[in-house]
Amino acid sequence: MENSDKKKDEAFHLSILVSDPQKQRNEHAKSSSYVTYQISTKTDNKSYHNTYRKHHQGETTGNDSIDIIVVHRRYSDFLLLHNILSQDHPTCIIPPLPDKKVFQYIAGDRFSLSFTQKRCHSLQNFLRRISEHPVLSHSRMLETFLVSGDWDAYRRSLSGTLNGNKDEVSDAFMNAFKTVHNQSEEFVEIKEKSEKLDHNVAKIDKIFNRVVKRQEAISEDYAKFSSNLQELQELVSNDAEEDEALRSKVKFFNEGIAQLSYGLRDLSKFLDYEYIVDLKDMEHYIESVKQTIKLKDQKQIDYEELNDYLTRSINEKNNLVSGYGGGNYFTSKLEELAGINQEAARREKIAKLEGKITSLTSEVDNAKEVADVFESEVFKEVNIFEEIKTKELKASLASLADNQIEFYKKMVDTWTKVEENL
Amino acid sequence: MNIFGDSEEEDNNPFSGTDHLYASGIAAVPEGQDDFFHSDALPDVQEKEETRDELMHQLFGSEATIKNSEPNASIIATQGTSQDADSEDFGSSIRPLRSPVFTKQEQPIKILDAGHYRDPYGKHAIGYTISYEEQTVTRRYSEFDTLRHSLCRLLPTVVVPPIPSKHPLIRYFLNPLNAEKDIKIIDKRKRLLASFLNNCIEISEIREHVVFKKFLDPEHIWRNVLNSPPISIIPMNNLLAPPLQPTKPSPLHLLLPNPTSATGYKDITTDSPELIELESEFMNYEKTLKSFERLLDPFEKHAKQNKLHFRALASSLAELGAYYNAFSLEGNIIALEKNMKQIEELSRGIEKIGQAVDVNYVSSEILTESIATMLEEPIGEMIHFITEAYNVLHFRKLKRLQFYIIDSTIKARQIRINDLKSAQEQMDRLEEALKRNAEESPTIAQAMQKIESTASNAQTRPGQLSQNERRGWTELFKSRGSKGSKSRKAALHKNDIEPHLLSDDERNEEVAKISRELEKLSECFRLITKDMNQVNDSISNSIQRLLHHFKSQWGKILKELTRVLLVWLKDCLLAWQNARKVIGSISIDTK
Repeated sequence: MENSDKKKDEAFHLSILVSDPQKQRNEHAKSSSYVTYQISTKTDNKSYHNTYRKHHQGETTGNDSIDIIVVHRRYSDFLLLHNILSQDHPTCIIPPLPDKKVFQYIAGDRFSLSFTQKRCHSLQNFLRRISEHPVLSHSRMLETFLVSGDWDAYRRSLSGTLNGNKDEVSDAFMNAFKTVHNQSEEFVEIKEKSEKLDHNVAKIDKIFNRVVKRQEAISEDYAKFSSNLQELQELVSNDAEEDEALRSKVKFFNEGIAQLSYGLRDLSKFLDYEYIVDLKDMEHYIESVKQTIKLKDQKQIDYEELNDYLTRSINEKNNLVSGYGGGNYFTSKLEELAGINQEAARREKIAKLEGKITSLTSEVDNAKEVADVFESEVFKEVNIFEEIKTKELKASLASLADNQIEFYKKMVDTWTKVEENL
Repeated sequence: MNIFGDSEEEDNNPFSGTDHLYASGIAAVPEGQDDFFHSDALPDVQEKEETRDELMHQLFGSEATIKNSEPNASIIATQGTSQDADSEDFGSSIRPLRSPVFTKQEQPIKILDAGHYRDPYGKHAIGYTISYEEQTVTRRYSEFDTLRHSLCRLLPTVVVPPIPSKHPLIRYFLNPLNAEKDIKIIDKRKRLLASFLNNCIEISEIREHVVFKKFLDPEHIWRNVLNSPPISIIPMNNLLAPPLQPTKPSPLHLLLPNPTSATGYKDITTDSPELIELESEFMNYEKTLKSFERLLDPFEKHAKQNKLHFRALASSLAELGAYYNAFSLEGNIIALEKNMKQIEELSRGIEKIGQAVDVNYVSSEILTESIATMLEEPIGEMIHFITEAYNVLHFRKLKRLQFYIIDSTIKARQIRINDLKSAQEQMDRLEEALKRNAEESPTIAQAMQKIESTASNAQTRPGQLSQNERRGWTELFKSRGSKGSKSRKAALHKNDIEPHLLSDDERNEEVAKISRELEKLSECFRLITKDMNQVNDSISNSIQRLLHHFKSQWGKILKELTRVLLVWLKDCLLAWQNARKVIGSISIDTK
């Protein structure tokens, strides 16, 4: 919360690129190899550069203007960052990390190009979202992550002391069947819309996967087609003039077909490695929104339950004061028989209840405050999400369109040439 | 700025999960022929146009689709008009699609129309209206079939262009109501039959043929043509008729041997170098055709696969476009005053992406169609052509076998006659010597008497020969020639008794008979040699023309495919470029 105030005077530019997944051999040889990702940070935040210089005194040439800060991190480092951020900022919608993909670990496929490329792109999305987030981008933790040369030591010292946000999740699970009574209209709408958004993105994701498969099949068709044409070219390779003309035609056409095959494959690769990853990340991001809203609901539920309890206690007290109730007829009879002074017992009870009510009232107030603050924070977060999401959609759609344009343009060029030659 | 308002209006068609094709905005019914080929389609099928136009019709709406009682049609139609009225950049993304794709090279013969008609005998059938030199005539499939069949028999040395094969009969059993109406098959037939006629007209033998002319002439009722000469007098066996004009009577042809299979063909050992050269020329043709066939089969397979993959892609894209449109309306989770503009812009951007995907879908659908008509069908036709060419080559083999049989019979007869003559001479010499010796030696005179008595014993034999004589010329030919080499040899064995065992009279008789035979045989030989030359020339011509046709066909296929691919690529490019522009104008600044 103080961070968000800080944001205004300390606004800085931060752009992060995750690239170049590299397989690393673990020098301790105990565990197997792992993959590191190169993180290049470009920023005008002085603090980053200062820290960087501090950490790399010996290495740098003493040049003051280091443009790009480069570090290498592995997936578990990202995970650590994610966990710390989610604990530090419970009201924030923390951008999600790519799935752990346990299956790939078992299958031994986690060093494949397609896996690391996709993950790389997803990690890039993660850091970009954080860098676009007004609160999270100011986190010291992020700075350390992006800059520190002693990250490994930092991580080792932390390991074991963090347990993630598991209790919150289980809490949320316990409350899964309770619903909020007084839902604000805004959130009803937000929930509804995020469901729809999620649904649409998931559908598009699914269909795009199919499109990619089909494009790959077509690309393969053209590869086969191309080898057929090659044979045709050989078949008509007599020295007759007519054949010569046809042969060169077939040759030109075949070059076009080969280009088409490659182009389609590249396009499919882009879709598979980047666009579909964007879609998946968007689904996860929406999932995070839903989780955060659930957390907010939980605070609301806490408040509502306390409030219920308070109301019940007040009612009970009122009943006792006005002489009715305070247990039913039989209990009062029993107490009478037991020789308990009813009047005294009643007073005692009222006193007890009053004490309870005072503490409850303050707790309710407290809970209300927490819930309200949470709600307004989450509301702010949803706005931030909306903004980041729009930016992201723009970028991702633009890159989709760009790649399509690139493909079609190249193909139009190729085929215009083919047409000229025919 | 009511951009958003516009787009909302466009997209408010009921979107439900299953009906996604209509929700895509540019709603299209990929296999929509069922809707299109309504019951009212029977009288006025004339309105059917080229596939692409048809598709565009369905997509962008027109009077034709409004007439359709489909509820969706009106949505599409209004959408079409609203799109027309829309801003420039929208229009330009759609417009290039309307440029005609199927501007095939001008063909002299066109099939204007395919639809139900009543043939002159009152039978219902699908009639194909042919237009040629400002005349139109309607013929049904079976008439094409009989035309082709007749041409094959009338011109055994010409590779007659193929026609599409018959409906698989199973269709009628599976779906008796639909099979007749199956517009896809009719369309395909329409294309292939037109291609058949145009292929025919390129072949001078067929173009000039009276039967073909009558087929294109509306004056003639086809059934009458079939029942009148020359078709009615086509000989049963083309091998026993002049190869270039089987209907021209030629009694001598009837004397030719009639090989029924080309199995003996391999045994032929050609001795003269010219013949060897000629044979190798035909061997080469066969080899070339075989390699074409080997090439075309996988081509056809891949073309089919490619078509199916494209179709699958198109249907996925259709779905995708629909979801993008839904996405464009539900792309935000919070709507506040300050980000209203942004939401609108984003929504418009996503919508444009959806449109680009739609354009992608439509043009892929068209491309699918084009692959079928421009690659798959011509390749199928070529494969058919090759089968036809094999038939013609087979005819030549039989003709060649005829030639061989006559040739070898003549040779056998000549050897025989030489044998007989030399035996006669030997006998004469021997007799002379014996006579001279007998005058001196009584022992030899005795032996002479013995020989004469054995000779008179053998007098019974000529009966066999005179019987042979009575069988007449044709019979003799057949018994000696037609039964293939093995039986021929056997026959020779049976008839040809060692010459020196025959008496002088017998020898003389046989010599006279064989000379008569040889006279006839050499007549036949002259005939078959002439036939052979004609057959070789004509077939060689025909095959060369066919190979040329293949090559030019390939040139055309490549050209057409290039054009179609380019249209596809350009359409998609433009659509994406438009989308990109709109995406670029999304302001991400909310302040």
